[in-house]
Amino acid sequence: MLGEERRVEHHSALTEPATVRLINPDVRDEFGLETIDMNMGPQHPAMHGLLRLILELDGETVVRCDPVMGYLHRCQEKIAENRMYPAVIPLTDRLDYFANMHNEHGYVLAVEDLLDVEIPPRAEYIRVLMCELMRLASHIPSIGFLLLELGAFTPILYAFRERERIQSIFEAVTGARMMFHYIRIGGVKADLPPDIPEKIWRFVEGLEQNFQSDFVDLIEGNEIFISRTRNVGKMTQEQAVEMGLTGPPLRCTGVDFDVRLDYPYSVYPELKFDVITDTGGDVEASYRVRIAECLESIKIIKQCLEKMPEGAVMAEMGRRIRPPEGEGFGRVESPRGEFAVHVVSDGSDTPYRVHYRDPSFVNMQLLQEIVPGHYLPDIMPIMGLVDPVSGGWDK
Amino acid sequence: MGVMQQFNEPNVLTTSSDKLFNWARKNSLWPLQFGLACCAIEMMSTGMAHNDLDRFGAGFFAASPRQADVMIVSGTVSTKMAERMTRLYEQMPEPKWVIAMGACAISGGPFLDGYSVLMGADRVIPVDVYVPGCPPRPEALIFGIMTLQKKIERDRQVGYEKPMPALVNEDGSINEYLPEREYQQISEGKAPRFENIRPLKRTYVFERKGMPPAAQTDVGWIPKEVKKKLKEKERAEKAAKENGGAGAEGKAEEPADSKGTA
Amino acid sequence: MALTLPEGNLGTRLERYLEGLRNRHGLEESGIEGDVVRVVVDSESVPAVLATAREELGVLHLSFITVVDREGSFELTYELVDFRGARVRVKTVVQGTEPVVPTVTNIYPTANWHEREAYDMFGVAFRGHPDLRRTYMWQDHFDHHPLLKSFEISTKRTFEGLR
Repeated sequence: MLGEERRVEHHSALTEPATVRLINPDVRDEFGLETIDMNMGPQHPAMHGLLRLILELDGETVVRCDPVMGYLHRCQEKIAENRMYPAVIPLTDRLDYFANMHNEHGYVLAVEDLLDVEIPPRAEYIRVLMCELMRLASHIPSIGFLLLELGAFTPILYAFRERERIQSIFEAVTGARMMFHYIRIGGVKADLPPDIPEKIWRFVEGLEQNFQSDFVDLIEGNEIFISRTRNVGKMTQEQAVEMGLTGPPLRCTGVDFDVRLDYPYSVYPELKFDVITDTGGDVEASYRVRIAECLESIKIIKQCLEKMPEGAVMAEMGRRIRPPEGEGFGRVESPRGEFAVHVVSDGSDTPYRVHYRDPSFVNMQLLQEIVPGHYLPDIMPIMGLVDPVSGGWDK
Repeated sequence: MGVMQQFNEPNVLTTSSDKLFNWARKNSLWPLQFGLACCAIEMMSTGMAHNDLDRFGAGFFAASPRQADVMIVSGTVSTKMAERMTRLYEQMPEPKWVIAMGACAISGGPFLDGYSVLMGADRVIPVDVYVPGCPPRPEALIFGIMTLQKKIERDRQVGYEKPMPALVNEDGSINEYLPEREYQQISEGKAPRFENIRPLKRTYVFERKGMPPAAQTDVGWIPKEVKKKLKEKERAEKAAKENGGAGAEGKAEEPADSKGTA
Repeated sequence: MALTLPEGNLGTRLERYLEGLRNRHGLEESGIEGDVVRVVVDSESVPAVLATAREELGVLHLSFITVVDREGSFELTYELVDFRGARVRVKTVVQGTEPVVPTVTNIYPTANWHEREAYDMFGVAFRGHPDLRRTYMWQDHFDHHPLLKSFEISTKRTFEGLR
């Protein structure tokens, strides 16, 4: 794994496994101590969005943690029932707004499952290229946010510098910095501009060269980072699978499930890359998994650029998208986990039911199970492990 | 900030308190960290190194509403959150402003027909600047903040609707500014200790001859008509002195003179 | 402790799952389509079927639970994922306007929040659920279930008559 030779061995009391450090019950009874009910409200500088945590604290240790969601509920599933199939794509953009391409891709795969249409190979390669760039644009700020919540301000500046570069590439290709509406049913909206592959190549090479020094060397051996993230949020594989986690939170425990390899879609079968797992199960392991996944994404981007065929970028379909009655399922690997879409069609212009299985929603169950037993400040690194996005869990 | 008077020493200047307070307020607008949804990412991006909000003084995103000046509503306001947003707005101390960033905060945006979406933040709180976009580019948000700065410049802090005593008398003398209650007492005739008040004499900074006053404001601003009358009086006095020896010739020439030089 | 994920040929695994489910439970319909084992069961036997899938067949991951409001009945879809390419899709149909379905939280603990969301959005009650509260909408003073077809939003009638 990255940085293994440079990892510092710590034997301080802080890196012991986080067992339940509650106040001694005799002491508690003698002094009549009670637990405190505290609210980490929806507006909070360290929450990844609008999440309310109702905490019950025994001193500084969390005894019970209850996430309350719904502060950004935007009725996406209901609104999608009143929009035509292509018009739902901009709505999916706004689901998990750090991984827009993956949301679009998932929905479009579900509709193409219903329509049974064949996508031109160039469109598939462009989709994968955009998705992997989006994965970079999502993982790097995730690391930045993890460190911002631990108090470090530099990594997030570096992260957003990279994200700005990726967003300018997206702007050249799709026309927008954030809400792309690029992956359409049957292909992609438009072909890549002729100078873009060169630019992407140069960006990716530059990122690869500077990655180690910008994001790894600065962070990995840092004593504060290690003491705040090692053995924090430690999970076993059984716990992770039981809670239904997918994505980096699952892979950091050692289970190597990646939708790109196990349920391959698009052109992933033709690309060579590895699944990144780590055996730590804690926040530091998830950080290492994300770092390595960035490098894997760079590998995939290079392969896509080399192998991209010529041709059309949109399948020959009529303008009217009216799938036959039935159900379509699409599943992609978003940076947060497994993003699945279930589209039920009744033969008309609008979907009958669209259901989004968002990884942030499911991964948040980890907060209910894992946080009790940790100290209050450990909630921030654990949120960095889960890395939820409020558009995702609230739909 | 408009500077009214700049002396020759480098670090002394005078201005009106309106302009001073507005200058201070607009150049240190601390936003409240109120990122709701996707627009929050562009707001964060605006605060980062590439599009730097800190050069406008707005770089410190205050976590607590008690220390914030402006609330940038960035993202969809759901009805569940609207209650908390109003509470945060009420917790912010005056003076405070609100920027509605993004289509969702202006009018509900793409989720207008949602059952739990508030159709615009201005349904519950007063909004000063609307920044359209979905999400607006960082440059658009910076433009919105600059527009808010221009709006703040036009605020009046002092004496909005109070009747103020005239600063300059008819004969060109400046009244000393008195505190309000004492002024009232004087006008009611109840402040004996100000009985002997005399208007201040005009003071010049440069008493030397040949050195022109730096600006008209060196002597305090005098209305044009009063200035004309003053000049006429000056000439009258001069002429009276001369006429004391010369006679009545100057008097006939005066009206023509004063009109010519007015 | 390491978890053992299923191995082997996809086709044989799918056959094994289908046989395993068929042998132990009465299924209304069953079949294999591509990489999916499609199974339709009665609503009361859903926990038993899912327990077999998890414990004996090794299908470890519940991906999602979808509820579709078919105006008069509700159709629930449980998508189970074994981590190596096979999927098991269990469907039930519950009649009526106030459906009650037994919970699967004790088998797949991840279903906790999926079932809460189904309750919040559709009113499908899950018997035996440890904590059946609303997820998105207000906990009190809101008696509606938004994703029902009878709950109309303003754009509902946009495409009416335009088929």
